[in-house]
Amino acid sequence: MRSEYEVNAAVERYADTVKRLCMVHLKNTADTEDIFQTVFLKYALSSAEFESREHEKAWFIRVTINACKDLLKSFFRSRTVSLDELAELPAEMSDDNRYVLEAVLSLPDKYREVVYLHYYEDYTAPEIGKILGKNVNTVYTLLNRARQQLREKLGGEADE
Amino acid sequence: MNERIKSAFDSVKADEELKERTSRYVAARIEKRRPVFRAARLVPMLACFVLVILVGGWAWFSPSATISVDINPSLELWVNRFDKVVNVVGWNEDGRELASSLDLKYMDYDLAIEEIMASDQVSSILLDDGVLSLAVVGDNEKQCGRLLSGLQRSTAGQGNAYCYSASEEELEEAHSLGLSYGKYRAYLELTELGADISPQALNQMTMREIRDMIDSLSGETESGSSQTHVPGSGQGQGQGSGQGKGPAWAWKSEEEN
Repeated sequence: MRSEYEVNAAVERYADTVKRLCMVHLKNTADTEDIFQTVFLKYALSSAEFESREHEKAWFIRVTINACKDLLKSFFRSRTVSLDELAELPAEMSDDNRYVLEAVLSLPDKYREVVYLHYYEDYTAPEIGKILGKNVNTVYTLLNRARQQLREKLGGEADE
Repeated sequence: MNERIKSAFDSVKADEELKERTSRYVAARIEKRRPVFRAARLVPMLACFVLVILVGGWAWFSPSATISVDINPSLELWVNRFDKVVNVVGWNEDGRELASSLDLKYMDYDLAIEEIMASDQVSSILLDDGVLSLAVVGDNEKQCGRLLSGLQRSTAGQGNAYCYSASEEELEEAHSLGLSYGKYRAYLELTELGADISPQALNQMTMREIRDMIDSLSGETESGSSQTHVPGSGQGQGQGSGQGKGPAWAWKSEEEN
């Protein structure tokens, strides 16, 4: 089990990452808080040794995505939350940022997470495949389709 | 587009309150779990440790058989299930003296017997044609058989050495009269032959003196006793119940003349 100090340091380092992943997968603040608790408690109780910060970050991303998927799969949630509800975006966001995020969040689930991992976290397709447990070719396909849809919504060139 | 996506995600931050609530929640859960974890790990471990110590200690220290040694020092070796001597009890003055002069505790029973026979006190009596009586008493037939064979091997070089087995009840009877088992058997024989002797007086005699007395009362001569069968206690000899009321069998060293 990790110390309180280690947990607090991890919260400082990865809270933003976890928050963004929650936004990509979930719709409301209450669920985000649940995921925060689940992920950081798991970290506190985990004895996993990390070789580097990158390794540690990948662990947080994987655990957060899994926690979000578990939450979405849960019986209670599937009966109580509307599927087309949009994630709440921060109020103090610039118009352009809001526009872009809304475009990303309007993509189907499977596209959103690869867009986030590739465009924001700079992971390559093989790395994303590893994190999500998906075939690399599948990741390439998802990225291509996501890119096309985003281009339609946002205009301009992706991956320039 | 890359930069716009980056900038958009970059503007999403976890607020300080959420971070604080998460830290507090995890800290509280850790606090709750810590003692449970320790206890969960330590309690069964400690319980197993204590159990092993108790069971091991019980198995080691509790005697499961007794070897009664009579020559004139009369003493008993209490032997555990691992055939180690866990206690030595002297049943008369000579026996107590011999017991205190030798350090036989936790020794293999056969080595202990050899040490007793090699002691000045006993070896001189044996050289002087003394009679050595060794009785194995216990409820564990397997162990008693093993101890008996060991005693036969240890006394193979001795004339006048008698080895036999007996039951716990007989041993208790012997103890109630203040006698070791070897002397108790001799006492039973003598009273059956009509001798008028108290257990206390008999306890001070050497086995040779007792054997001579038995022989003279029963009309046997010592010189003709090369195949002498060691008499039983009279309590069911030859028709033992299987629990060994009488001696399971008696054996005499082959070298006895």
